[in-house]
Amino acid sequence: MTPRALSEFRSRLPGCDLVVYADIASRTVLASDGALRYPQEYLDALCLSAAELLAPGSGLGGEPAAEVLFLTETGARAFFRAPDATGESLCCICAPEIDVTDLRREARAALGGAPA
Amino acid sequence: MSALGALKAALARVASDGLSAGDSAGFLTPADGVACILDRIDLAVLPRKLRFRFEDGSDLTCLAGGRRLLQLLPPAPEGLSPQTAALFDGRMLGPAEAEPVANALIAVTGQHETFRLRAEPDATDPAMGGIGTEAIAAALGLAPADDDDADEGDAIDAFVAALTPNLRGALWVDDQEIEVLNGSDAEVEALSDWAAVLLERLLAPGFPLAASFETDGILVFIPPAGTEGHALVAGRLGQFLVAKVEGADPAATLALWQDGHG
Repeated sequence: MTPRALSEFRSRLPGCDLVVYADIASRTVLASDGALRYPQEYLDALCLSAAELLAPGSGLGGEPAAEVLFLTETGARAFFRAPDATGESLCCICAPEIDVTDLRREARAALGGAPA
Repeated sequence: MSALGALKAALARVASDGLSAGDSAGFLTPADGVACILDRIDLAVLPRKLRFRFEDGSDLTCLAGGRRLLQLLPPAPEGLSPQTAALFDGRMLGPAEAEPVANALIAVTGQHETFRLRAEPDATDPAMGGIGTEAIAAALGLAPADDDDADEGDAIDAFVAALTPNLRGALWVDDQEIEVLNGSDAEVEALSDWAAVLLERLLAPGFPLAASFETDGILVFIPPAGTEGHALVAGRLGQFLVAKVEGADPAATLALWQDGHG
């Protein structure tokens, strides 16, 4: 995904502060788009979170989860794994009131898969 | 929301990773200041190095974990008597020291009006000792640190009750004890195995979201398309609800959790 594609992705989701395109297999941030200028170590921490949450065995049946949503009172984080097992993933930081259904639909479309 | 308000909200979300990173407090009396410090210690379930930086740039640094004060770390803040300053030697504290530690804290907060808190993970084992916040509060005649466990228990009960028609197994993990809330033997066994592996991974010091997750957060795991249901782990001060939900949208599950935190 290009930086422009990430920017367009974020513009369609009010309340999405940051989207990171990462390769969780190598734990590498590939691109990002954010409302703020986030330091690299912050992006790396988000990538590490995605790698742990979407790792083999993270799902209940033993297979890796396709999506993980993390919500606190102050914010939401969402992690999406590409369906083709390449390790590509999207990580988002959003307001707690983000429309989760819209977020999931846009993320799956961006990664080239149907909604889970 | 204004552009400035949106920016402030975004900054707040950046700061919310980990226990009270960038958290600040102002206090009118020394006792209020100690109460503010104890509130932060009471949120530290995983071991955390807490640095309280006061308005004059001086620091009070300590280790907290298991919702207890474990160690007072050097250097001691200025202005303390030699006997009080000797408490800041980095050794594990014990319950018998609640009164001198309380007096040390009140001597420090008596010199200040505000602090900012920075927190970072630490590998110290909280099971080794420490002083409970209630003992320190009692030594000063303060009310215990805010205890909203009862309200939170009600919120968890309501959350589970709302999910029940779609639950296919639910566990309440409290320290080393596991209570079965819902499910057949097979569902509970599968859920237990998953939770054991997952919690060990997610509560490791190196996992960036560990502190905010175990303090008060919910994780929803959604399988690939074509697989039924979703699983969740909701953390609250070191206790966890683990459940499998079928026939419900993950967005609806999250909305239910938010209802209990409104």
